[in-house]
Amino acid sequence: MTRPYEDPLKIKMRERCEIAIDAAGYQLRDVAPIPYPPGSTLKGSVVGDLQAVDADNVVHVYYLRPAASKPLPQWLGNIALAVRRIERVKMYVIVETVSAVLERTCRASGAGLLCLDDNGRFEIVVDVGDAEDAAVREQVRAAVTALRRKLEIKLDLNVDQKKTSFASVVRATSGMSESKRDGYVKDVERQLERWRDWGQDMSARLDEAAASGSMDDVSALETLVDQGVLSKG
Amino acid sequence: MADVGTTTSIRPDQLKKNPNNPRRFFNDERLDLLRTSLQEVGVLVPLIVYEDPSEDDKFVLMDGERRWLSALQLGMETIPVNVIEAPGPLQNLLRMFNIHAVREDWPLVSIALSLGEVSKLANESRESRLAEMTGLTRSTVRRSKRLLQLPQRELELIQTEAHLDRAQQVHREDLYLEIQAAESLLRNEFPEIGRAYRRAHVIRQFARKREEGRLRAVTEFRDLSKLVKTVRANLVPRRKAIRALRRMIDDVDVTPSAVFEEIAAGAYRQQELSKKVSAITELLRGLDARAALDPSVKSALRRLLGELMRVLGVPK
Repeated sequence: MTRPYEDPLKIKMRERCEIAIDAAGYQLRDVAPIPYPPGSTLKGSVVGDLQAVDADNVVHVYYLRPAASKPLPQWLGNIALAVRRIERVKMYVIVETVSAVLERTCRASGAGLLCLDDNGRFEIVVDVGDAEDAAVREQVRAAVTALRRKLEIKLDLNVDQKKTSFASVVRATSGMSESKRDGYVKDVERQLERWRDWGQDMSARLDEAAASGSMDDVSALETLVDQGVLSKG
Repeated sequence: MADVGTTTSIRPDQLKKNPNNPRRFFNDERLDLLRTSLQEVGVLVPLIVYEDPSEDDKFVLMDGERRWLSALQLGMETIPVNVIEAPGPLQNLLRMFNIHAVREDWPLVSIALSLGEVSKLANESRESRLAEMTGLTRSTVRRSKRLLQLPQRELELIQTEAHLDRAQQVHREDLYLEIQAAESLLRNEFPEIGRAYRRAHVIRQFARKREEGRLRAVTEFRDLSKLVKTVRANLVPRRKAIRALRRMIDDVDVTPSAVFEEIAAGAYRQQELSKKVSAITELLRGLDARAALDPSVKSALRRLLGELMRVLGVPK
């Protein structure tokens, strides 16, 4: 199979991680899908970027994150929660620098967090056993999931509308001068970009709210999702 | 074998990258929203694929690389696909441009590389025609073509950083557009420089200034165009300009702004002043002497008069 594009930072990180896992005494293995526990509504399976087995035959699944300044995204938080119900499997996120928000959100989700240092060794920042009681967060997580669907619908509608505008602006301006035509086209592209950036920002905030366990945070975000992009366009 | 025009499900590992797909540069973080959505609700919008004519039971991706990438990371067993007829290479490329009407994920370097292919396959180099075929603006077509004229090494440097956020990029597309414009200007204006240095060398030396953190902004190269104007107006001796420019090419620490400030800034400012004074003089000539002037205009003109008397040394 040809692999799709992978972030070059992640490719370099993958090589260093393989050495660090080996140095830690774990046996690297081919990545194999691990089914979610019964009752899980998540689609797919636990795969990770790397997998290894320890002396007790416990499978360690590693997800590599070259950028670590944002909260743990919800898809990884969901996996961390699900893995807690799978016997003999542990899930870790690996970064090269640790941010407070990532550490906090990993702890809240039950994801282990490893920092790969300059010497190619892992420092355990959050161990899997350190996770807070996830059960109390289920209600917040469900609310965040519902809000995320709302965000996606809003985003889809607006992005589709801008794409339609783009198609019609290209047609409608075909007879205009180059500079005038480009001005209209770029304006629609800018509007589209604003919605995309807003979507990314709101998604990161939802990730953080899911980990915070606070219904107040979710309510505040709901207002922002309802408002959408506030500036003109 | 899947029927053309049908929606079906295939394993993600049955998919191959499109050979004519412009190289896409994904910022890993920007896929997080999509991954969460796919994990929670699944892939609802089918990917567009066609059967691989060279390998049984394989499909080539036409649209949906982000969904494919996410499905693989999420360990999905199958994904829905719409199977279309295998297109010809030109059709394939144009369809990509049309599918991604707004090329939100395509950095200029990707657009440029694809456009180069379109141009070759369609045997078409006219800007207007390429813009019509692809839906790109003419200025994007022009900028892409300029980017394609860069030495291969520099193009590769741009590509290796294209997945990074703009703030993290050293070898930015706009840097090279500025460098190329500056290099071309110097080569046309001063054939002596063209004879002394290879084009690729000058571009490399200019890029090094950015790599070494010597530039305040990528637009600093525009100072060279101002310098050229002063040489054309005989305000700065040509030989002096060439000496300074050669120093700038040879020494990575010497910036375009430093050269401009050193030999041409004073003359350039006077040249600009002269143009502006001419424009003001024309405007003043057009004023009716009997017309009542707005107080704010009167006050501005008085201030101008005061400054003129000061600069010309006229006693009050």
